[in-house]
Amino acid sequence: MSLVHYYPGDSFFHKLDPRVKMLWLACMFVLSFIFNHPLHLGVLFISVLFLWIYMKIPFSELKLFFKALTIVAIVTFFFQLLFYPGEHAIVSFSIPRWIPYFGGVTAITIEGLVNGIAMVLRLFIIVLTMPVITMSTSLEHLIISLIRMGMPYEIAFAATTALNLVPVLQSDALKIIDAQKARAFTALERGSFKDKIKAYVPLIVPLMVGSLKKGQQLEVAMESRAFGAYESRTYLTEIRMRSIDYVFAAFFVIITILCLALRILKGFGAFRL
Amino acid sequence: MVRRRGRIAEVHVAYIAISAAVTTAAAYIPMFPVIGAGSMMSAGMIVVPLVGILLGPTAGTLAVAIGAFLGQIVAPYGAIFGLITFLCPMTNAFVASLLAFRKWKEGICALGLTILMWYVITSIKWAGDPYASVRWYFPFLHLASFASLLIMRGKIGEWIEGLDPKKVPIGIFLSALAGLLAEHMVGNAIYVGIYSGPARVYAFVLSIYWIERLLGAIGATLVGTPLLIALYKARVEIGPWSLREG
Amino acid sequence: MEGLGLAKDVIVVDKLTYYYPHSEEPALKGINLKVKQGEIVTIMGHTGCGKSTLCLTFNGVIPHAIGGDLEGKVVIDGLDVMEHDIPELARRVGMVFQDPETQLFSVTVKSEVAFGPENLMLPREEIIERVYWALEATRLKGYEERAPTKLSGGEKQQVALAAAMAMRPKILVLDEPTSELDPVGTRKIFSLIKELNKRYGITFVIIEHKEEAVRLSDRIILMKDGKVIGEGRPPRVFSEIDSVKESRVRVPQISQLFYKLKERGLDIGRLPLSTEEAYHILKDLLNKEKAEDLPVEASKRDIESQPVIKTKDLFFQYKNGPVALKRINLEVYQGEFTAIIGQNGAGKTTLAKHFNGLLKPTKGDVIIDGMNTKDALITDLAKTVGFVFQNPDHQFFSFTVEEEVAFGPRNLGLSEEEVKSRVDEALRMVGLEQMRNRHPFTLSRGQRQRLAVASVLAMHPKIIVLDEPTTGQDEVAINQIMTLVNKLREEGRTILMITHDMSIVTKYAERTIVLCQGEVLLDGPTREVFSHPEILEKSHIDIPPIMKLARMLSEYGIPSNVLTVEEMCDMIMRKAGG
Repeated sequence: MSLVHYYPGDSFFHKLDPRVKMLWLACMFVLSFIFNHPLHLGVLFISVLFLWIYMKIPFSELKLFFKALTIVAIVTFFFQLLFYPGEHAIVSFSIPRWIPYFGGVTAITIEGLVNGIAMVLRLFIIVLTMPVITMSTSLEHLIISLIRMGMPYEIAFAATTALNLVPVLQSDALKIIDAQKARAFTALERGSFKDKIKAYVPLIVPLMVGSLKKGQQLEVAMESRAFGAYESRTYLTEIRMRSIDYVFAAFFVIITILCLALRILKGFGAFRL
Repeated sequence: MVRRRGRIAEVHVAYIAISAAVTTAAAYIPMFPVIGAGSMMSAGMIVVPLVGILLGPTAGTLAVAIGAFLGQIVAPYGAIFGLITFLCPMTNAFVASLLAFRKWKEGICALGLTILMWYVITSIKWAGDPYASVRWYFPFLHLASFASLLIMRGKIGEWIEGLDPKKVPIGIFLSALAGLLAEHMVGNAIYVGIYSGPARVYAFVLSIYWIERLLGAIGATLVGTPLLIALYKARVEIGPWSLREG
Repeated sequence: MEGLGLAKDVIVVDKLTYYYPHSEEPALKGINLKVKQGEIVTIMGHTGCGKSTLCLTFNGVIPHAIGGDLEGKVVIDGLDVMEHDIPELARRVGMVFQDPETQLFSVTVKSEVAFGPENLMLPREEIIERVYWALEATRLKGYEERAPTKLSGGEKQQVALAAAMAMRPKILVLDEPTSELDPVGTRKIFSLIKELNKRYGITFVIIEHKEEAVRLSDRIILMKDGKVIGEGRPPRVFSEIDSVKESRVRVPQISQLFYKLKERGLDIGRLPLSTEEAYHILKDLLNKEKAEDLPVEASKRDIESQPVIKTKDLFFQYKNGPVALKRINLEVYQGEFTAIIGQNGAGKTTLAKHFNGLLKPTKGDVIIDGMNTKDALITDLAKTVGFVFQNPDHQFFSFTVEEEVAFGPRNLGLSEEEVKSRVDEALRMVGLEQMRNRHPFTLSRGQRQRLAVASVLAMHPKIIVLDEPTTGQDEVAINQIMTLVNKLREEGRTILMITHDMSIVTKYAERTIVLCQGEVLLDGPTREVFSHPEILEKSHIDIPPIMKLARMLSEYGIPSNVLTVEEMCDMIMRKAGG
């Protein structure tokens, strides 16, 4: 299983400098909170979907996301629908007070409904924008852009190495499960509640001890190749901002500020009855 | 904060990387399908405070931040707050590590701040909400933990550092619990503050959250005690007994 | 190597004594050593003798990264290690370690190899040049964009070599580079070492246990308990039987043969190391005569009884993955000692995991002691089949050795008295009673291996499966494990052992199964299986040197299917001793 799904491509978005892409992400995040109105949020959402399609990301990826988000989306929607304090009721009823949690709810309000939709849209926008970046940018480019933006290389390093080590740990975890099963460890499948809590011990302890010992070896390996020799280092991968990158960066920032201003001054994107 | 190059707060990048990887794997990838308890506990609640306790306030928090952030990328459907979800486990490791490394004043302040943040944000966002009063007594466990920290103070770190098999579990339990509760509060603050979570939800959550957090702390203790002792015996150079001198 | 006489000393170690941090015992005691430019030197010694510690002083990791107390001097290419930092030394000394997983951490092979030069702040063009040079030198041209994690073990070590080469070092230190590799990978690495030494004049310091390393080296250094107890050209070092035995080093089979012959009164003087030399010496002692092949022993099994392991058309495919096992039909009887050999990826561990139900067949059946694994419970299978995994550290989590051994029996739900008695028994069998209250991680690697065996024995299994029990261990530890395993077999248990070590197979296993790409290539008495070297070659399996020698001497009265050193010794004494 490849952890970071990277789909190389030729699209315009692919070729954008990673820093500009990150700026886009930040702007989308901000915009999704500036807007409250399902219409505006809907437009944002569609623009994200459009990007996914434009970049030719396989549908299977999209399906995965939708599958995983469905439950959270439904729960969020219902919470908003039932519990959001609104004044314009659509349907009135009365849930007796003695019913736990739902007791006392008297109506489903328009505000609740609209807010519910808005929350779901917001959720989707926020969750779907991040993968757009990781799927269109190679890991090396991502890391370089973070470093160019000022991240100390030790941190960038820890991040890429961590990503590469996750599959190793996963396979270690499987080996540990096997070894314990071979000693009749059944708590993963059955057992009392108390057993299940204790079940983590024979699994996580060997995993963490093993990983930290690996850390020791990794330290020696890195030092042996002069890691930390100087304050900085040269990098094989390069990124350069083209003029078009600056143009887009400016574009994103201006739109965001514009929307913010319009929201504050004219209530653009807010939902009012 | 880098004193020797290649290290952060004396902890080599290799340890930070591997601890980040453990965080990513444990918290975001269902490696250990512990059925039944799974809905209440995730390996993340166990691993995150322990990484903090082992690597310390700077390196440990960083490792968890990286690991959780990567987890968001790798399994983005688990990132319910979007890009900033990682701030929750990061706070967890931060608070737990402060207490374990005897920086109890900072640790208490951090936990206290999250509780304060809760009161402030709920007071603002729930203005006019008929159920808003739940906010006062909702964080009862957090306040209890806060009180315990005021009583125990530096002893928590001492017990962990001393590696006495009888005292270590208490130290781990208290730091992990504080960390888990701080994380919880940050999550709540985001939910209420940014996502406008209504007060009713909290009436609902009131009866479950404390069980979940306590179980997490118990799990962290059960795992952490043999873990810390094993690491000491295996001569791995991390943990408060090894790092605090540096 | 010729011309070495004029070469300068590129490593000079003078009265080196070193203490690890927080340690009262020195890890290295007064070491004196010199290595010339262009030499291939192999350091051999028991686990914990200090070989790795010594090598880490060559690039400054000790003492600069690890700390500790260093007395004496280590001079690398004219630079005193105490006065120069790691980056400077790393330009002269490249290192490759045992575990491919913890020394490769980049996204592509290209960036992995570039890592070192990047750290040295070399200009980008030079980095690119070095990367391509290093990849070409290590026969990895075309691998630039591949992900290191997806390569085979041997390829990973090649990448590690390339990454070290990119520093353009004069010296390359390899710490057990082939321990985790199968015969294919091992061959690749050793041949690369030879080539790099010849082509670029790189000095090699290798830590190894394997025979092939001895053949490759200009000089051997024997270490024991932190001291150098012998050194010189391989034939001379291995002629000094006493220091070799003292160092607990794996003695090459040919040398073992001549030690034994010497003991039995046949003294040849100079002791040969290679099969060719041995052949030339021995043929002069023997008469030309045709030899009868040794009879293959009849299997001791009781055909009337039911096999204790039976697979019927076993077919296994990983979920969404490759087919790992095809049409495996096997019967193993109680009391047999069977070795399972084959390349990495041939399916040995996959097959073994079917025997205790960790894996269930995709098609076909696996019957263990009458239970079909598809229906049996984990607990029942764990009671019958004990599985000792390759890395014992993947299972320890208890505070004491006792507690660790008790885990299995407790999972079976036995009473506390029963658990205690089983723990006592198991610890006694593996010789760890003294250690019962120690923490598992304070034990040595060999002891931890025995602890893993003890925790399995406490389940009272009829069948024991061992996955590579002897990788990377010294002679004494290997002997301890194998003696233990043999004792278990004598008690009537069935033993299955997965291994790459052919000399162990020929010495202990009466039956051998060869797996190749998921299918059974050969299955039968060991003597018979090893009489087909051409078939074994398909799996890149080398027959042990003694067998090669026997084949060479088949015109001189030695049966071509002599299996072990002892048999060869007997044969020779019989035919030549007179």
